[in-house]
Amino acid sequence: MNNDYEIVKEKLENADAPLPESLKPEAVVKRLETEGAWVPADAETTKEKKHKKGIIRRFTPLVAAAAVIALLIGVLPKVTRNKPSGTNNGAPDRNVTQVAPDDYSAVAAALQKNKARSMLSDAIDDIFGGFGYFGWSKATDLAGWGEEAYAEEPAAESAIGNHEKSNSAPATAPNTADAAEHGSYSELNTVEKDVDETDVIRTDGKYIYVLKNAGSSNYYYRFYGAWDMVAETGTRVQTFTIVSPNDGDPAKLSETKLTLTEEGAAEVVKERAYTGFYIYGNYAVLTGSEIRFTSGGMQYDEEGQYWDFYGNVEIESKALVTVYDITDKAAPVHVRDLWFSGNLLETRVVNGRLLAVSLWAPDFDVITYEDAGTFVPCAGSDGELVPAGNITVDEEATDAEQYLTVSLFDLNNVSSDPQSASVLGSAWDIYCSKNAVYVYGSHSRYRLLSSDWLSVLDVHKLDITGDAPAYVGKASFEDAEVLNDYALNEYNGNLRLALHFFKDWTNRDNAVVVLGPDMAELGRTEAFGKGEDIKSVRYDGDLAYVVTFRNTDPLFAIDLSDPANPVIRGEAKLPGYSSYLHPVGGYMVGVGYGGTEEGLDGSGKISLFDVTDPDNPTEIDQIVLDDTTFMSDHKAFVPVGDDGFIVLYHYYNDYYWVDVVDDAETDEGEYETDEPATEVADEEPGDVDADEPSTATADEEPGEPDDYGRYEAKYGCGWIYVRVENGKLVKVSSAERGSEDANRALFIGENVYFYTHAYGYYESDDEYVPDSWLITGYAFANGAEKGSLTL
Amino acid sequence: MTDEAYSEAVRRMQAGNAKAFGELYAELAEPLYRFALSYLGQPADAEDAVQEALLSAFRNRHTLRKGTSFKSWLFTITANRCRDMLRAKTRVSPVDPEDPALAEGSYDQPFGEDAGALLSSLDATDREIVTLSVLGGYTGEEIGRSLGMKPATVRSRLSRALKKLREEWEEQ
Repeated sequence: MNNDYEIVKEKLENADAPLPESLKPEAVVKRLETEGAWVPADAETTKEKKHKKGIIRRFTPLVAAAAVIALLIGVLPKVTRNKPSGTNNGAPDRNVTQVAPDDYSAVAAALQKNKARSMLSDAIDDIFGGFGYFGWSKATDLAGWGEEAYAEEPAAESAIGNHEKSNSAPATAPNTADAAEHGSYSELNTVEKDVDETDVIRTDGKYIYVLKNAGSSNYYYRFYGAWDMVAETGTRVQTFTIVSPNDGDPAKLSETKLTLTEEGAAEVVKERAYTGFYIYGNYAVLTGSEIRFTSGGMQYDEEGQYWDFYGNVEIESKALVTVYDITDKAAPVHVRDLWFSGNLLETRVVNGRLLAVSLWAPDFDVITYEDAGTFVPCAGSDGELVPAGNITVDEEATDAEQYLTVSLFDLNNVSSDPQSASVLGSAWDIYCSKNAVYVYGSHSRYRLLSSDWLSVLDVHKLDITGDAPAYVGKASFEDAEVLNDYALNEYNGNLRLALHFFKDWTNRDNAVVVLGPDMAELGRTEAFGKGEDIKSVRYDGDLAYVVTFRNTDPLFAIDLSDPANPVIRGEAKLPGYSSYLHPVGGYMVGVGYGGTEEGLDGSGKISLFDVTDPDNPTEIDQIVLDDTTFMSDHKAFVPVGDDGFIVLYHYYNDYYWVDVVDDAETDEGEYETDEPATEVADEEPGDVDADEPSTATADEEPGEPDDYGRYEAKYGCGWIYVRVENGKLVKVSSAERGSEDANRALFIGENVYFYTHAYGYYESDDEYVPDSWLITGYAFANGAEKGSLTL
Repeated sequence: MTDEAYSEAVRRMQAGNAKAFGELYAELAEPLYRFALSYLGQPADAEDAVQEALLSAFRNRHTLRKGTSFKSWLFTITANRCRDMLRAKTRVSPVDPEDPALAEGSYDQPFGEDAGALLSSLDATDREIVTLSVLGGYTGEEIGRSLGMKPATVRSRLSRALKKLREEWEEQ
């Protein structure tokens, strides 16, 4: 068993921590019975600032009410309601307004109105109870808590790395892969064909491009530094590296340092952090953010002991797009930067243009409505404001004191300015087709009559075929949520959405809804998967496949050929569930979790579905790996030609802390496990050469026990190349890397390149081994390692 | 509490009965406070967090979904509250040195004799991970989702942090 875990648990559970009087059950009941008058009982332990906050909060309803009254009597300028072009009268009432060109006063009025409404909403939230704790995860995902600390981790029944219990019995020996068969190099697996997405590693077939340390910013890093982790601090530097694939033995061609940190006056730091990039012709287009913050620090008492810390304080954050000319692979050249107000939500490259979606909340403390620069978002290299005529107001949104800005930037003319449009409303995610971008998100609204909260999902559509994005309209759904981008799909001008509806904890179901080009609803399926959540969605022409899950996994096949009358055709029920679906060779492949009738069992599963008869989809083959989680991120799934794919996984065996049976009497190497340690990996009849690296890693001895007779837990990651042949999943090759996390895999010609990350650790008390990023080359045919590059 | 008594208490609690809430909470009072204390480090913060979480939970009792245990639900709400407080704390100005709580010494080693000191030797994220896993019982995947990390990362950080804590304890 995991001794460290048990020891720490015992210590923490028995540490002296007397329960404060105010938290004793009787005191709690007393307070709950007078819910409205809740005041912390033990005022001495509550800090002064909290009281101040309480006072401000108590006044909030008054301020909000005053603002609303001001609106009602017309103190603020009125917004002229104007249906935006591109909508028709048959569409549902959208309550959106497009403001007149060059006149930001209507935007100002709408912003003030929305702000007042938002304050009222907060006030109601204060009075009637919060709605804010859903950020963690859906409560249903935590079902079964408390049975066992590691409920998701199955008991160790096999030797380390011996993950596979495939019942896939290949009829024929697998073909060796070669370049002619699967194409010469991998392209990023994107949600929509011909709509590129940002990523951290890519290839154009000749070179590999990598953004190392993607997403990290010293803004957060410095904060951790304040927690005394001196050994781990230092400046995090992002690099953009160009690598020669070199037939499986990758070699660095150039490395460009990206983290530009400028220390300004009074500890103000300006810093860039990129999250991904595109390769477009001879340009690398990097996307990320630029943040200005004041650096935090520690407070020390007279004896030099710290007694509190204060963190970094963000002053301003902008979305950032940077263009490099990479014609000379040895020396990329910076071309230009573009900034967009707020945070970058998502980007795409479509029809030769970069689409950037950002979300910005103006600072109401500094707004002066005479100065548009204080309340209108910027997009461009020199603070250009989004034109008033391109700003649309969503009058229904209760939390719409923010702007969603969609910008298009021509990558065939990188000296041109981006064309932008904004919606005064909030949303968080996007789905983008070649013709339109759909920005979606939920907001909550309090219903006084029924005294409950309503959650409303808004889906805004902007046409992106013209020079500038043009607002088309929106659709709203009550108590609905969208799983991910794959739940939306544009087909023949219509938008199809797979939605999960949750009215309350006993009343949940799902439906696929079809919207017309103007966002008016055309039809929807009957409710399906009652009491279950949607786990994955895939559209394939007129058909939709939706996986829902509670204890077992129904895969529903839905016929959308008549948009006005979508019909559920058939379903396949099986243990576990697929978290990603991908059509391969006329079949549907599902990547996800294995299980039993009772629920998940900690294994990872690849399923092959025969979907030729939509009335009767069936699982015809599967590969199961114990103690494994397959990566459900679509970017980690690599299609290989028409009938193969590479999928990445993580494995972990946290029961590998084993005790020497008896220190005094046991021979070296004898240790206690649930399963004999001599068990070797399954030899699959269809497996390739016996020197397959995955089992080489798997069969490694656990190493020397430490002074306490314990062995390290084993974790790591791997890739597996699978082909679909004659209705069977045939594993061709694979490889594993211990103690590393998988990021991505790609292939060029005969070789697979696996991009992994190893976290820093303490070699000893004083010696810290920092994080490292590696690209390792393997032979496609048998998974033999050919070379590795540490970035 | 038997399954039947539990279901009955949940039903009464959801109908707005504070005593039923108290019955369900009684068994969790200490572990919940200990959890918040481990998360936040300061008794005053932990007390605030649990108080606010309890009120929020009771007000939003309809969100306890079938199939979810009361314990899991309440810990989730408390964890969220703790996380918000931790984040908020990094964004406020330094505490007031005149704060009477300082003089009373409640900022010193609040959690056992050595547990608090040891936990504070971990970085903030590791501390969150250890607390969520050991005292909250959350899985690597759940913690990953909440902290925006891969489950494998959570597990590797957890195992290293646990090892570090265990070794330090043994040295004492």
